Amino acid sequence: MPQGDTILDNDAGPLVRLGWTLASIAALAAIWHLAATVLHSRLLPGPIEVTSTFINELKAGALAWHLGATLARVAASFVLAVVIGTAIGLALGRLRQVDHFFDSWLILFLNLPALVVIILCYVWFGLTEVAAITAVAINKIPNFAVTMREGTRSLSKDLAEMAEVYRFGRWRTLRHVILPQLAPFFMAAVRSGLALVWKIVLVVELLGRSNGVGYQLNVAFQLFDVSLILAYAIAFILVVQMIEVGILQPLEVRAGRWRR
Amino acid sequence: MAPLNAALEIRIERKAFPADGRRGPVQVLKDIALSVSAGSFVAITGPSGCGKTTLLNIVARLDRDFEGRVAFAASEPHLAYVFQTPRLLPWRTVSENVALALPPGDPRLARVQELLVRVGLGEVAAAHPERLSLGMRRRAALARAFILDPDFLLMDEPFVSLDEAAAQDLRALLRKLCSGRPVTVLFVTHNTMEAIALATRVVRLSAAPTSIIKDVAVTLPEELRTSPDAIAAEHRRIFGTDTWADGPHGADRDGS
Repeated sequence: MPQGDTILDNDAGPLVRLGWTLASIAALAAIWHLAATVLHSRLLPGPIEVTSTFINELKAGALAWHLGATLARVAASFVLAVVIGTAIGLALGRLRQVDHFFDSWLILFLNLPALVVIILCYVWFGLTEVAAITAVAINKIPNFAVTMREGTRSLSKDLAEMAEVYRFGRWRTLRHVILPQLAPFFMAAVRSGLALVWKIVLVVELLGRSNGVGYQLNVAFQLFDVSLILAYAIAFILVVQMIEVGILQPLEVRAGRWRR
Repeated sequence: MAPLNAALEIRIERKAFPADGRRGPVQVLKDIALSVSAGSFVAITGPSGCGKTTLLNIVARLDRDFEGRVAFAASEPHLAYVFQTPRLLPWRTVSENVALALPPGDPRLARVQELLVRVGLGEVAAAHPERLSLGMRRRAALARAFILDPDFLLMDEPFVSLDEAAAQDLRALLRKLCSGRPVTVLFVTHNTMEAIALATRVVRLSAAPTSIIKDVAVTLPEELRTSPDAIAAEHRRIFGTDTWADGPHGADRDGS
C-alpha cells in the first residue's frame, strides 16, 4: 500500500489536500487559456469554449448516450475478462503441469497487439457487439491470468496447515484464508485492467461501432472539431476518476485495513 | 491392532522426504515408538533438523506420508497445534482469529473474550495481529488453541525468539491454562531447561535419521518449577550437564 498517502493524511487534512488539487487544476486551466488566447487558432480551443461544447453535448443527450454505450462495453468486457482470467490464473497457479503446458500460449497472447485481436474479431465475427466485447476481453484475460497465477503461487502453506488443523472446512478456508491473500493481486489486476480496457474499448468503437466515445471521437476527427474531442476527453477523465475515487479506492482501503 | 493403554500411540518405522531433483531422498525419522499417557506433558528435544516438527506434523495428520501408524485412544480427538510462528490471519482481528478455531454457532464462542482476558489480551481483542508484539501474538496463538478445550495440544517451540522474561511469563501462562484440564501435551523445544520447567517427561531425539536416545520422567514437584536452582539440579540429574544439552542455536536463545 502507498505509505506516502498515509503520511500525507496525517500531516494535512483532507480539505487542505482538496485545496491543493483544485489549485493545480486551476493553474493548468489558466495555462491552457493563455496558450489558446495567444495562438488564437481553431485547432486549440480554450477551456471556456470546450466547456460550452461539453454543456451543449450534455443538454442534447449525446454525451450521456455515447458515454453510456462505452461504459456498458467496458463493464461487459471487464466482467468477462475478470471471471475467465481469474479462473485461468487459479488453475495455472495450482497445477504445475498445466502451467508448464500453457505458459507459451500465455506469452503469445500477452504479446499479441491489441489491434490485431480487434481486427481479427471483426473479420471473423463481423462488426457486431459480440465481436467488440470479445476483442476487449481477449486483450485483458492474459494479464489477469498472469497476476492471479502469481497470487495463487504465493499462497501461504503455513496458513493452509493452520486452517486444516483447526478444521476450517472448505468454505471458511476460502473466505478467511485464501481470498484475503488473493485480494491484493486481484485489486492490482483490476486497476491495471481498467486502465487498459478503457483505452482498448475506444479503439474498438472507432474501428467498428456506431456509438460510444470512440465513435464520437472519430466523427470529431473527420470534422476537425477539436473542441468536441476535448469535451469528450474531459468527460471520459471525469468518469474514470469517479470510478477510481468512488469505487476502487474505498475497496482498497477496506481490503487493506489490517495492515500496519 | 493391539488394544490401547495410552491416550496416544506413535509408531513410526520410517519417514523420508522424497528427492527433489537437487538431492536424493532424506530419511528423517526411524523407529520412533512413543506411548503417551493421558494428561502427561511430554517435552521432545533434540538437535536442529532432527525431525521434531515432522513428528508433530505426523501426529497432527498434516503429514500422512510415512511408514507406521499414529493411534489415538479417542475416536475423534480434539487436537490443537501451536506452531513455531503464531500463524494468525493478519486480516482478521485477534478475537476473530480465536473464534475461527471453533465451528460456526459453537456455544464456546461466547467465551472468546473471557479467554483473551485470561491470556492478557483483553484490551487488544479488536486489534489486528500485525499491530501486536511477537509475545502478544504468541499469546493469541495460545488462546486459539485453548478455546477448543483440546484433548491434545501440540506445541512446536512456541516460545522461541522471545526474551527470557517474556518466555517465562508465557510458560507460567501455559501452566495456568493447562492446570485443571485433562490435556495431553507434546511440546517440542531446543531449550532443555524449558523442557524441565514444564514437562512431566522428557524425550530426547538423536540427529537424523532420528531415533529416541533418552526418555525420562521429570520428577520436579509443581512448586519448584519456577525455581532456577531446582530446575538446574533436575537438568543435571537428567542430562548430566548444567548447560543446554542441545546447545543454544542462534543469538535469540541466550539466557537461563
